[in-house]
Amino acid sequence: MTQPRKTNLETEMLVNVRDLAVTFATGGSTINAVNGVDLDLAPRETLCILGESGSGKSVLLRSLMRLNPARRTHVTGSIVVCGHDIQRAPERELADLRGSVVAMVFQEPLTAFDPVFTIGRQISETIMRHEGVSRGDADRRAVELLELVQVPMARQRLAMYPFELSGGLRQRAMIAMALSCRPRLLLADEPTTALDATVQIQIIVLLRRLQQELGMGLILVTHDIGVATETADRVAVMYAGRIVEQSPIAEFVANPLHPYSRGLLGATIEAAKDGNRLKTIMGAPPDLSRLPPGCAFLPRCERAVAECRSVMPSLRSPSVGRAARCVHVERE
Amino acid sequence: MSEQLTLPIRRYGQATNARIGEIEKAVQPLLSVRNLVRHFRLKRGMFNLSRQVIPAVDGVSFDLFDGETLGVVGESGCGKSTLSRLIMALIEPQAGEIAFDGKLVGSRDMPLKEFRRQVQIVFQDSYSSLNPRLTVEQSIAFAPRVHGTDRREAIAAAWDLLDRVGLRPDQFARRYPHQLSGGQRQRINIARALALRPKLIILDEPVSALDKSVEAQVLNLLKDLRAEFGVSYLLVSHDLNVVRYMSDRILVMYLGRVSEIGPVQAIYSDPAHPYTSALLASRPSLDPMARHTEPPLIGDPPGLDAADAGCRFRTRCRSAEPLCHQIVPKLTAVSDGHWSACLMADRNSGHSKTIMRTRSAAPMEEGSR
Amino acid sequence: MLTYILRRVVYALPIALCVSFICFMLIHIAPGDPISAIVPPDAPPDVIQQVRVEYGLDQPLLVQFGIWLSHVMAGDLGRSLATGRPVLVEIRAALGNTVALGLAAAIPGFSFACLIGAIAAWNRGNWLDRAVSGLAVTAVSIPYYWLGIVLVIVFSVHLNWLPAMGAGSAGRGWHFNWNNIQYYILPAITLAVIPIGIVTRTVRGNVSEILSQDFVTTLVAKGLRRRTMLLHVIKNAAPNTITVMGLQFGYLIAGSILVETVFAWPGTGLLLKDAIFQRDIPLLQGIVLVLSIFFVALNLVVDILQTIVDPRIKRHAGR
Repeated sequence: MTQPRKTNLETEMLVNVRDLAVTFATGGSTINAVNGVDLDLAPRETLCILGESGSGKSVLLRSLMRLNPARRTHVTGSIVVCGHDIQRAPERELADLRGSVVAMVFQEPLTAFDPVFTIGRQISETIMRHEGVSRGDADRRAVELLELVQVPMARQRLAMYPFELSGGLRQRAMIAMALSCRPRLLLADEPTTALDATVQIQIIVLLRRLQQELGMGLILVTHDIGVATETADRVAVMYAGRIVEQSPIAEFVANPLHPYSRGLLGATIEAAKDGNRLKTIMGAPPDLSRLPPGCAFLPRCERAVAECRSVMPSLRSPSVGRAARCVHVERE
Repeated sequence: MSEQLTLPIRRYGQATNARIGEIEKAVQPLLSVRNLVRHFRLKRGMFNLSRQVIPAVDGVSFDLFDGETLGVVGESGCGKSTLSRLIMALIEPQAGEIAFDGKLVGSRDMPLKEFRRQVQIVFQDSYSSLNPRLTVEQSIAFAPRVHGTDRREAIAAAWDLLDRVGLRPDQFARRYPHQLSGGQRQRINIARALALRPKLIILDEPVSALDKSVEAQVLNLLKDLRAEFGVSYLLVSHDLNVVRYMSDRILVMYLGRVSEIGPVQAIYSDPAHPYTSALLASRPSLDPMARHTEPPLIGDPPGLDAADAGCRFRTRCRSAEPLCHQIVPKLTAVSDGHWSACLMADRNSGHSKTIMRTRSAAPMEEGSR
Repeated sequence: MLTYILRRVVYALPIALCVSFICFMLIHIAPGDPISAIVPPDAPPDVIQQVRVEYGLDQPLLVQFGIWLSHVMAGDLGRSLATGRPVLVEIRAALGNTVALGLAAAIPGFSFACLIGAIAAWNRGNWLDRAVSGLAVTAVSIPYYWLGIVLVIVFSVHLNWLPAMGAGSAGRGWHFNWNNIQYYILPAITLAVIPIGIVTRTVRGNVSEILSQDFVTTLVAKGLRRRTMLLHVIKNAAPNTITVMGLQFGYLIAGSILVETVFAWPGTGLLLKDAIFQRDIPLLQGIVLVLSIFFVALNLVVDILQTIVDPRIKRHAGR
């Protein structure tokens, strides 16, 4: 197996994204899913990308492995993951990276697994593909992996099909599959959304523990603030394809900068005092095929001023490590 | 002979009037469910030989009072969806009774058609709940027309309802479901449910499929409508926070049985069942400084077995004793209006412990991570 | 598994019986008298009556059917009214020819259909996909007996490349050489056209749907090689595709009557045609029975194959 090319960046950042823009051409219109995103991830760091449906968070995540459908997708900007230029890398190099250096965990494990192959087979094939070991060795590794993610009766479970496992076990199996070749970066797309409450917290705790034990970088995409507060070192809030706020998690929760972030935190039911109404963000997310020139949050913002209409605010940093795209945020 | 069901007019032996919120209501419950049972038989393999039975709802009893919101909480496999369908008479129970306004549902006093006027349902999936070939106004007007209202009146009433759920009729009445967002569709489902002015609306995971910002809007709407229309809600959800925000009382289900029922404050601050404690403790902490180190509950909800003797939670309960494998716990009063189906709640059960009346059961780490 | 097979076999028998009964009734409702096949029309009435009694044709219909059924149980399908030979013998020879033709049509035909169907699905939306889809629709719409005649006109009459009819030396020891194969080519093509169209469209739809499923993204995200991914797609597409191919093969065998007529192919189709026109009831009953049993057995094989290939059916956990 050939060794992937490495550049100097490898020792610095796991992920380095500059000016990423992703558009989809469907029918007559163009959907601007991601509109100018800069992203960094240091080794062993956990970043949570927080956003609702239509924010572009899943598209962003998939772009890191170039998983968006090639024919309809147009990508500009630079994406460097673990030292590899994802945009320019040939397909073969990408295939070597995927599953071994970078791995992904998906939202719905029932559909993410191939229904007609056993769990064990699907884990083993990844190991055999990237590490060239025999089937027997790969199976042994698969058992170890299932035990690592706390699946009871691991050996029997290897021979089961995805539909035979419960939701929580399936998600653990998917995590095991993603970790099978010891990736340096783990990407998780809403990994707990489809799970029950008691299982969700198990998976959250598991992911955090594994990330620390294996020393991986972790990027977690979610719409649930609770997931972010439980796992993240830093959080990046996405709205209409842009990152509107980036911040270490504690400061984010204590003092959100962007009106959208404030709205999200305010709309959590915990924030509602008993008996009072929930604070809501009025309106609805924008149409991604017709984005306005100014701030995309304008129609829903309580603090909108004239300046917001004309130009998209740049990221402003009031303090180190924090930034938000809002005219009301003072620069440092 | 009258088929009116004479139910005990006191809830589980409690005396006098019940307090719901701050309003004293007459004791006759709006909806009474007694010992509802519904099993599903699984056909395994190609031979249909195996006779595995899933006891989806296995002896559920509760009352719902006029004007209140009863929240039903539980995880997958607990039977809450089956319960909501049983109450709507969409599927038939194999045992047990449902009484509405003191009358047995399905009897001459309360035939199904009349019952269905009084009880409506809003489902989780807003898109598949709507007929894609009907416009919004036609969907809302549909039920009234079935029950005899003439077309013009029904459409006019539909416009009025659209307005009350926050959608401008002139913009939305003639649109089709696929042209709307999830939140808008769910508002239409709510309007449709209100069209017959029912006394009870069952909300089956009404906001689970919506984004958080839209969820807040729909929940506020539901609260407003409850006051405006004087309707009662049976809210089924897996989301503890949603249920807490909306409900007056809460019913916790586990594997087909009621494990705890009581006023919302009591349940959330003083849970009397280990499962409820675990559920509450499973909510992600919103304080990054105080994260979970251990999950409160290990493993998945186990597979069901109809021939189960004993408490269904015993396989995951930290306080389980040999006694729990033999006796099926009955709902025992813990305090006024607060009942728990746990042997620890019953001082006479023989269980060595009493219920831990603490706020949460999971150890949390203070300080930096 | 064994229980399943036995149960299906038990179900099959009433089906075959029903089909035979309906066919029997239809024959007798149809105008024309079976007697005319046996004796010349100007025979004296008492001879006719005698023949009638001899062949049991004077009995009520249900009794006739009952008698026939009792013979079948003993393994005797009677004798052909036209030739006098045992029905079983006639059918055996004919069935062999029909199956041979069916296989000649199915094996290359279905392989081709799967290939272009998969290619179309892979290239969904572009010109290749549309070309294949157009071809498939055309194939399904062609009246195949017309096609057969046209092929004969072009290739036999004008070009004289291929024989117009018959099965050549089939039945007299078969060798894989041009002498024998040439007889198969035109009828096989004619027979295969419609099933190829159907299978192509099925495979295209099937593979298309599979490629759009989430797990394919997972496969890509794992960095698997092309051939592994192909294996995944094939195993997912197999259950549906096998079912359709199996059913189409059944139609090839049971529905070959027109093609065999055009090409005078000595198979069950031709035999059936002759039996119908000659009111050769025993032969007719026999062929219908055999073909319906064949069809049911084929369905059973397809079902079993499907459960082997698709684990969700095998181990349905009821979730």
